[in-house]
Formats: sequence, structure tokens, C-alpha cells
Amino acid sequence: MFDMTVVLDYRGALLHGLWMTAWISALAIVLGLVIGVLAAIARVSSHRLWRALAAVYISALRGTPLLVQLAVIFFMLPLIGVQLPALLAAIIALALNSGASQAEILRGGFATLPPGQTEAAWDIGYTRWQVLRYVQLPQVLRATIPALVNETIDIIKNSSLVSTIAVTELMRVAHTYSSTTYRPIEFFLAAGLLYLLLTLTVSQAGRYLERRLRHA
Amino acid sequence: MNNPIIKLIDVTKRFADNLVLKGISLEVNAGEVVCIIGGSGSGKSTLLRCIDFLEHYDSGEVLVQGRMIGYGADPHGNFIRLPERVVQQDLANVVMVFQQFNLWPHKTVLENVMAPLRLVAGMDRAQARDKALAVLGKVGMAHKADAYPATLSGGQQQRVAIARALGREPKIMLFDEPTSALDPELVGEVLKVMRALADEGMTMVVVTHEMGFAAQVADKVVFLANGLIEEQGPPSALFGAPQSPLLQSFLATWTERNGGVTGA
Repeated sequence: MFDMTVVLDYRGALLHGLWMTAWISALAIVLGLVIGVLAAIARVSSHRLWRALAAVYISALRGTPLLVQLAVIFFMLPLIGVQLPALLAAIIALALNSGASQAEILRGGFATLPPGQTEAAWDIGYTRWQVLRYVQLPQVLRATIPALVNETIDIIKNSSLVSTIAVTELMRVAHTYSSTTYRPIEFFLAAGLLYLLLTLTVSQAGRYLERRLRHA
Repeated sequence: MNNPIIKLIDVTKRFADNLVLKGISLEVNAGEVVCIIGGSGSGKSTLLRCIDFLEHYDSGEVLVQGRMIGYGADPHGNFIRLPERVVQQDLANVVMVFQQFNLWPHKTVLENVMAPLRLVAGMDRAQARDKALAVLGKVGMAHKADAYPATLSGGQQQRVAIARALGREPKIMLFDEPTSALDPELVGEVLKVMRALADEGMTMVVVTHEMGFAAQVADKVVFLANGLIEEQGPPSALFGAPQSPLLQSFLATWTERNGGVTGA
């Protein structure tokens, strides 16, 4: 018998799961942005070694499933003596995965900037770092907001995979209680609705940000 | 004046198989206005960009205020490309005004002018603001301080770009076809600002198609063809009695299209 009210008894655990999902994703997306910026810069660097490293990183992380990446970080790193708690392993895997996607998004953003703006900044005395910080990044981030919002939504959804290494986020909570109560439909539906709530919030926030930053 | 503020000695520049500058020697004295004219592909923009090292010349020397730009000797006496910061310091008195203005679209007019004052000159906010409003006033753009570049006409954007350059208190200004991207009715307002700068004694090197401006404002006009200086001299001589057949036909074509070197 389908009865959604059963999940209400477990709302505390579900909301805690949602909260875990939210901040794991948030941390992953922010760390991923830092990694993405670095990788995007390395990708167009004048040093061949940096370019090669960035290319390898990006293709490796974009060309393999997140589940495999999680397994490598959580199960294989201990073999070489690096023991990571599940939560940390999850965040690192998600951030590395997202960093590769964000690097590609940002690279596209850098490519759309007219080179003259950078030239003008250099000409007037900006250091390379100032050019990046004050001329390029603000515009690249603005231009890539829609793509970065999509990436954030992907990360939220993909974060459900970290339940496989026993991180008690939303998916894990739903899974646990669906088996103890024998009510899988209700719990997975509830989890789905909560994911939807989170992703809709993010996309609305993205739209708001886009509107606010658009001028002229 | 035997101490030119800019001196080019046999400068060459190659893009892949194309030798764009084939050996340019040129002197510009302090306070002079030098206009560089020539057809497209003659190398005039490349020449200008070699002066402030936006293009890295392949051989010869570019000297600004007596210092060689871009290249030098390391402590062991080896010839090297100088580090960027050194190049920028050597060019601290030189700024370029670009054909496409190159304002930063995410910043307002005031912020465009203030940012370099804060970041490069190290001024505090109040100082930078006063200075920015002063140079904007000079080009007649102070009333648009809070506007974004995209809301301005091309002529207004170019005046803001000139203000941004002036904020650096340059001794030398390079203009790379500053009016070529403008609608004809907007050219005059930019030329007026440039003329005022020339009157104040700014050293200017101007790549331009505005022959009227060159005729009236330049101390010297340089005609470039196929990567070489074909002819140079005072505007009266170049426009009044051109010697080289290439310059004669260049001016004839120009006159046909524009109706004489008198306007502006």
C-alpha cells in the first residue's frame, strides 16, 4: 500500500541527509571551481608540461565514471598508505571530477574574451595575475554562469553515488530506511523530491544571479 | 633635438612566412606628433605595436627614452628577452589607444579609469576617484562616469579609453587607428581630443587613415609600404609634393574616395 506519510516519521534523518548532500555538493563545486580555474589556465599555458598535465587530468576525469573515481580514491589509495575517511574521499572525488568539467567550461569562457582587453590591461601595467583577477575571471564567470549552474546540478545528482562508500547523505538515508521499513517506493520518491527541491533552488538562484549581473 | 624620445633602428618583424617589417628606422622627438599612413598590410599597426612590445620584434632595436625595449643582456652578458615586469617598467611612460577601445565591459566608465590607478599606480580609492574624474572631464566624459561602456557610442568609448590612458600620465601616446571603428559622424569628437593633447605637447605616434588630421596636426608623416618606410617628412611635403610613386597612387586613391586632404 502506497502511503507517503511513513516517511514523515523519518523526516529528521531525511532532512539531515539533504543537508549533507547540500554541503558536500557545495564544497565539491567550490573546490572544483578552484581546480577548474587552475586547470583551465594550465591548459592554455605556454609551458608544455603544464598543458600536458592539464590535458591528462581533464581527459582522465571526464572519460571515466565517477563511481570508478570514488573507488580509486577510497579503496585504492589505502593500498599505498593513504587512508582517507569516507566523507573526505567523497568530497575529493567529487571536486576532482567537477574540476575537470569546470576547466572545460571555463576554457570556453576564456576563449570568448576579446584578446584586446587583456592587451589593454597589460599595456597599462597590470601584472598577469591582475589581468586574470580583474579583467578575465569576472567576465569568464559571468559568461559561464548558466553552464556552471548546470554543472552544480550535475554534482548534486552525482553526489548520490557517494552513498556507495557509506557517506550518509540523502541517498544513503533513503536506502537505509527503505530496507528497514520495506517501503522503497515512498523513501526513494521522497529522496527524489528532495533532490528536485535542491536542484530547482540552485537553478533559480543561478537565474537570479544571471539577471543581476546582466547590464546594458 | 638630437635625443629622440623614441628611436627605432632597423626593426624587423616576421609572422610565419610573412616579413611584415623589413627594417624600419625612425626617430620621434619629445612633443612631436608623428602620423603613420599606408595601405592595409603595409605594417603600420605592427610597427606601432612593436614600440610598446605588444609585438615582439625579431631584430633591430626599439629604444624608448634611451632604453631598449623587450631585450637586454643578462648578468653574464647574454642577449635575452627581458622579464615582463622589466618591459612594463621600461614602458611606464607609454600607453596605447586601440582601434577597438578595449574598455572592460564589466566595469563602469569610472571603474575602467580608476582600476589601473588603484592597481598599477597604487592610489587609494579617494585619490583614484578624483584623478579619474579629472581625466574624464578632460575628454568630456565625466557625466557618463556611472555608465557601462556598452551603453556609450563608439566615440564616447574611445574618449573613455583615452582618459584611462591619460590616468597613467604618459609621456608618449600610441594611437592604433583610433577612429577606424567609428561611424563617420563620431570621428570628429575623438580627433578633437587628440588635437588638444597634441597642443599640450604630448608625444604622439598615430596610425591613421584621417589624412586631414595628419595634414593639420602632424609634425611628421611617415608613409609605410610593404614593410618599409617609403617616404617621410613634414605633412606639407608629403601631401603637397609626394615623391614616391607608391605614395602618389595611395594619395590619389584616397582623394578619389574622400575628396581631398583638407577636411577634419
